[in-house]
Amino acid sequence: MEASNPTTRTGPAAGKPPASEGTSEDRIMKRVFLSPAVIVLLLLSIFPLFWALGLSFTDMQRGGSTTERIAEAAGETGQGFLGLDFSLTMRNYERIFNDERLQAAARNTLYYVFIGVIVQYIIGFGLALVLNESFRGRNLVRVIFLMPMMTTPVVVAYTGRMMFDSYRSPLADLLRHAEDWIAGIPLIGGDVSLAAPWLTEGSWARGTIVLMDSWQWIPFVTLILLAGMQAIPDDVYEAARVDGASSFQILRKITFPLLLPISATVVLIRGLEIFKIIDVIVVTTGGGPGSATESLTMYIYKTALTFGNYGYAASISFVLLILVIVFATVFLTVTRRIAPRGMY
Amino acid sequence: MKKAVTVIVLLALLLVSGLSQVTQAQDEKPFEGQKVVVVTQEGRSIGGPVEDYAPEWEEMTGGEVELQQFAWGDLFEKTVTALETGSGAYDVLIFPASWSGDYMAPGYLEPIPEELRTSVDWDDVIPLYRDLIVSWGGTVYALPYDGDSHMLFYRKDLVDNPDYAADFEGQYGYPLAEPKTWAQYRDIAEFFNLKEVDTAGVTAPIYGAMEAQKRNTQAFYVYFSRAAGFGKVPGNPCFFFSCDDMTPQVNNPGWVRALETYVDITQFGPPEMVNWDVADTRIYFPSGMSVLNIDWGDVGPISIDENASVVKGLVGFAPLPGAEEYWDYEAGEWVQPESGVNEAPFIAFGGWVIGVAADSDAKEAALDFAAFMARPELVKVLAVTGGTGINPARFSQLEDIGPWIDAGFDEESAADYLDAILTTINHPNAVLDLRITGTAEYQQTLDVEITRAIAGEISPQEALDNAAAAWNEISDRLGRESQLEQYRNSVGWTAE
Repeated sequence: MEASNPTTRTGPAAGKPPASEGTSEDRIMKRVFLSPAVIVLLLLSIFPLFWALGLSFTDMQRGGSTTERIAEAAGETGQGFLGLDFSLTMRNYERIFNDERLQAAARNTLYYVFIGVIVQYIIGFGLALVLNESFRGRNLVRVIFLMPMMTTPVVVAYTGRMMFDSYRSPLADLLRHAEDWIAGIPLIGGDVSLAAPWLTEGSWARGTIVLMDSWQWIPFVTLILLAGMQAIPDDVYEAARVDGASSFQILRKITFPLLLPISATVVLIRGLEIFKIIDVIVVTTGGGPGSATESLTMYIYKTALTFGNYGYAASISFVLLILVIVFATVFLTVTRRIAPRGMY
Repeated sequence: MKKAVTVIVLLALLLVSGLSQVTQAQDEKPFEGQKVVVVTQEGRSIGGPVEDYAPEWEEMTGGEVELQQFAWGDLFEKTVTALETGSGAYDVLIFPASWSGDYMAPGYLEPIPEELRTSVDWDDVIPLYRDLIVSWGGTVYALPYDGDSHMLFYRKDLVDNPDYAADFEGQYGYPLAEPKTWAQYRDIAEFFNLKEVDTAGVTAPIYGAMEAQKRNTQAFYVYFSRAAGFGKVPGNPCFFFSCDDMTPQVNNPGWVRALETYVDITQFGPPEMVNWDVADTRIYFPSGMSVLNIDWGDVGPISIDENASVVKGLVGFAPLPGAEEYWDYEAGEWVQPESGVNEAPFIAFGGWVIGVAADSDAKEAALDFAAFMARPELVKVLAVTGGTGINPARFSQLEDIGPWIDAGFDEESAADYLDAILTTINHPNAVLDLRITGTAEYQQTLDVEITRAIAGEISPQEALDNAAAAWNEISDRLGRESQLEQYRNSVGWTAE
């Protein structure tokens, strides 16, 4: 007897589309209902993306094109691309490789992303563990923890600017009191200085920006990880305890691995968000001291809207896009490799 | 029939009287139902008077004023984008005169009609502001609101104090007095830095100097003020660029030395100074934190406001210090002036001026509100009031000492303050601020480089070489010839 091939259709249904695909009328209706979403997506996301890509290869700027101006000065006309008032050029992409300010902004952005994500994940994970325990007033504590996330970044930045003023701020006062207290300890003496140039020295300022961003977004990380922890069935933990596992072993062998998929999601979301950081920096340091805290987004904003150099701003935007894609791809690849089989 | 005629006549009379009442009401409230959107920088300075006085205009005209304010670092982007796209988002713009090249040159602003100028007593406006600051190509596009120039503020109770004079002279070899040069300014800053002094009955260490140095703020104007002394060539109005070929002068030895002094002074100021704009130094200098300060005239009225100042009557006012020698970029050499000091006060910023957007759909109302805010009686009051951001731009504000004394100045301080402003404005070697297309970009590229030098990332020479390269790139991109022509016109350069 010939074995039947499950992939070969026989009988009266042969030649008809699968039931899930429906009739041709159904298929048309599906497309009709989907088309508004597709059109909106094309108009709001895909078209601007390609428009910006095209723009990045032009010399378009506020008030017209460079080529046009130079031609006008020389008494010539009509030198633009296809007679338009801009020209095609590779100059924007050539400039990227020689632009020190851009390179500094890219380094700063990568610093914010990597340090920021690590700090936020570690502290967020720890807080989620605490909030996952039962204790009196847990609900109130959860709400309090979430409050920074509900604040706008500008308010966070102004608060941070007041807090991290190294001369007059509650933090500076606290550190001065701590210095006095330490000075009273025998053998240590009065030479201990705890004053820190939070926003006035380059490397400190970068770290302070990360602190401010973390203060606002750790609650988000905590919230997501807490939701993940609460989704882990209790019997898994009970079984582990019956087998004599310690709390640390439970954390290392059960909680952390089971949270990996959700951890990957939260790290990816925060990473992509931090790539776009601008508001906190503009309010606290303006990108300084020097170029120590300027981010790529801030540089793009300045290039496009202050300098009116739209072509170059578009090309830097694509550099940022490439960085984001590389980050996301590498991160997902690594996560897939370390995550237990079947989780992805 | 007679009754019907009577009724018709009565109705007609009622209608006519009703109409006349409506017309009268419209005459009394000519802008009823119209909204004027005013845009300027955030905070009480400059925008505060709009908040305070707009209700009065609304009551008079029936119009409505909406004030939108943006941080200094965002104001240019927000406004120029709106003007460029013709969005009509703003009707009245209160903006720095130095942005005229980006606002007036492309025709984004409505020309100010003759009768409106007459209504705000045009002849009372100091010619520098009337003929140059608010005009472009001979057309007036804005009304003067604030007259701006940088000046020196110092604690005269310390600098003129005989208790310190002998020590200072022993240490530096000349008498302690109001500094006339940047070198003397530095010596005084060094001498007093961290010295225990008495301020309002409290003895505490004081810093030598306080200057705004934060990036992405108005701090770079303080650097320009220093560069003026070292880089302005007497008799040559072209300071930022050569008027021969638009070569940036920003990295010539005079400008480099100025940046070296700007970096050097950091050691005699509060550590947080590198993260302070003038909005910050205006709080801390009147709180008695330093001996010296460079700023616009705003500090004068703030210093006599007892709610904001502990140094009322203790502040001396003077034009900016000069340099003992300046770099003549045409001759390629340092020159020592015969007077011993190259005085070159800087008309920093040129003041906040009021323009009306050409794409406004409430143009008449906007022009009326602009004239309301720029009227001489109002700006006279604002100039003597601390925190308004308004400084004198009119003869009537400078000639009449009475309002200054009424505001709380003592007679000597008022005379000293007004004399410093007049000396600055009338100085033959005064430096006019940059006001050509792309000014914001020239300024902000330089801003980044000078703050890098302050942060110690690069040397002053490297910073200014970078700035010069960027300025050349901007000039080429915007059209070197047209930029040169604009710059020549803006400083009144002629080939002779």
